[in-house]
Amino acid sequence: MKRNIIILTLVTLFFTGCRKEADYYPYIGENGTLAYNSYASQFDYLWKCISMGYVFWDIEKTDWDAVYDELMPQFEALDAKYKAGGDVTVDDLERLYGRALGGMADHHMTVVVKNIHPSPNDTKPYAAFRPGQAEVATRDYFFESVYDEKVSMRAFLDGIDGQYSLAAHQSATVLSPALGDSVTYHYCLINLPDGRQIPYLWQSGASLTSILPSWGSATETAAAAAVVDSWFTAVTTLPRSKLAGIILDNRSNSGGETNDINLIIGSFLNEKAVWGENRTKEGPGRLEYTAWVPTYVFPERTPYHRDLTAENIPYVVLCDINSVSMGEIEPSAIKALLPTSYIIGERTCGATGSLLPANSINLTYGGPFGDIATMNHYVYTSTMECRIGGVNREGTGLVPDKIVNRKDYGGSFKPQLDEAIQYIQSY
Amino acid sequence: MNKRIIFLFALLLGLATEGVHAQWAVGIKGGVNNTSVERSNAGRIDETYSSLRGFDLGIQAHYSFNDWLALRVDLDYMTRSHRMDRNLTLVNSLFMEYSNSYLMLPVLADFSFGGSKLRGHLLCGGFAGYWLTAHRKGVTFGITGFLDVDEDLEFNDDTQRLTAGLAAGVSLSYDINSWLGVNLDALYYYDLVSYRKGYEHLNDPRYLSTLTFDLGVYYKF
Repeated sequence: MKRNIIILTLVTLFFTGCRKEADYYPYIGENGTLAYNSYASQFDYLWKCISMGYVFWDIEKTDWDAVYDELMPQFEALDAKYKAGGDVTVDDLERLYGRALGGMADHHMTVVVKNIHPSPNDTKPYAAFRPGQAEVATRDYFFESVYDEKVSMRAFLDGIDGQYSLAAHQSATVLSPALGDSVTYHYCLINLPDGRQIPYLWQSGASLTSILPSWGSATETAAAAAVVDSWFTAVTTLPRSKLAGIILDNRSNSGGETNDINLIIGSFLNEKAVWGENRTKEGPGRLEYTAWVPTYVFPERTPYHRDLTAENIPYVVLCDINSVSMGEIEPSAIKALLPTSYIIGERTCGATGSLLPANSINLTYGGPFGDIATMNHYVYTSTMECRIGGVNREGTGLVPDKIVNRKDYGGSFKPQLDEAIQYIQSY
Repeated sequence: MNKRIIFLFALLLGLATEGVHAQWAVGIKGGVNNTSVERSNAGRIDETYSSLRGFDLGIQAHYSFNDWLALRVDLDYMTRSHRMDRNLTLVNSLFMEYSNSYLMLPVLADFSFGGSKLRGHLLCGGFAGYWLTAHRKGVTFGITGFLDVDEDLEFNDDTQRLTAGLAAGVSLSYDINSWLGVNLDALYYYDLVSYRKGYEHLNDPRYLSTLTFDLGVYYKF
């Protein structure tokens, strides 16, 4: 019996050594110089960080393991070429990273990679690839802009008087402190032939939250705040008999502040409501997520109020293929929460994931990481998955209630606005 | 599903006992357990993983070959839970408790010693298990702040629901009379299968280990 027990003990000890060790996982929040000195190890590092921190693996069609199998030998070939005295350029890197990332769902994503062995033949300082931008350009309704679209949009709005009778028209372009970029607003009060009016607002970005408080002050953003306030004031104070409906124009809106939801939706609700759900990664596994956490709109955080639903006032939102991030999240949330809403325009970009600043990486272990100034890479990617009305629109975008593609009208902005005014008139 | 497995097991047990009644004992058992998880931190700098208590209920069957060796087979419903805590400043209120339930089938060699009524047992063998349910409860992060979470989890392609491993322990039994006895077990389950599947080029295996303390009662044929 003693012999049997000894044998069993040895067998047990043997099997206890059968647990596998974990592979090396890099720390995604690393902000110091990394030790890698080859193209293959640079790719390996980025591949692992994206494997851990990318938030769309549940809907992603890219086989990430197959990407490694296909491309690692090619990056190793670049190393061999360099060691043999050959020249590796950022174009070579861009081509390979383009193949790795070409089908990724994240339409916020931009991967920037420094050439660790700079070449005199480099035509640009970094290799950069944006999978979402590449996908959008393949859509059959994509209208290739040969001009600065936002400038054209502004020119269209500046010329709107004459096509429609306007009771008011204000515009302002200011530097948004929250976006670090300029944002343009146009407010028009459109007169209908029957004497009713439509307050119309175009916003090139989502920055109401940081701009509106400056209304009436001497700060630079006060001019934009005045434009936006005019729209909200008209929307909330015009008598019902005079107010035909309202239009929010999010075409070419490149996104911005999440809290703008409180203004463009909260102003028209009576109670706090859930406008969407978000989740981050909760582990390094591709399908390890936190719970879907509700995200709320708070009506008490806006100075404006009118119950559009109770008064049955149509709320038309215009969007297009260049409505990105909050530019498309806003119409999606409006559609989900306000029954009198109606979306007109083009299917939007599909960059609906939420982003937090890069210094949040230790909170979420996902989202933007790296630093092109101090490291050899920077990856701009969504921090959170987002779904609105139970739908995750990352990579696909919001399909409007009424599709009006600019491509069918030679790129003109006018047919979409015409459709909005006609809808309100016939509402 | 669970009822079918239990029924099948009982049926097989009944067939096997035919003609060898004097060597068999069957019974029920239940008790508490403590489960720990062995895993790497996998690139995370502020997570700690700790054990949680649970419980288990099941049936037990013994077949004695002689006065010192028996085969023991149990079928248990077992909770196997563990906890993750974040400990960086500002996020140190985040935590999650993962409560899992398994159907466990340990098959053990039972080496016994002692008197005719009170006997000690050394148990060793292996087990197979099936992950039945997953639940989590804790505090997580959302855009509008930290929020409570209490939800069932769905299994996905990364989940490994079948498990197997080693089981070993000690037991004390007391025969109350010629047909009824009680036993007190301490069993350690050591998983050799990760509950998360790995990837071709990146693996983070995670293993559960569970120490159970059960009180049982058995009927001898």
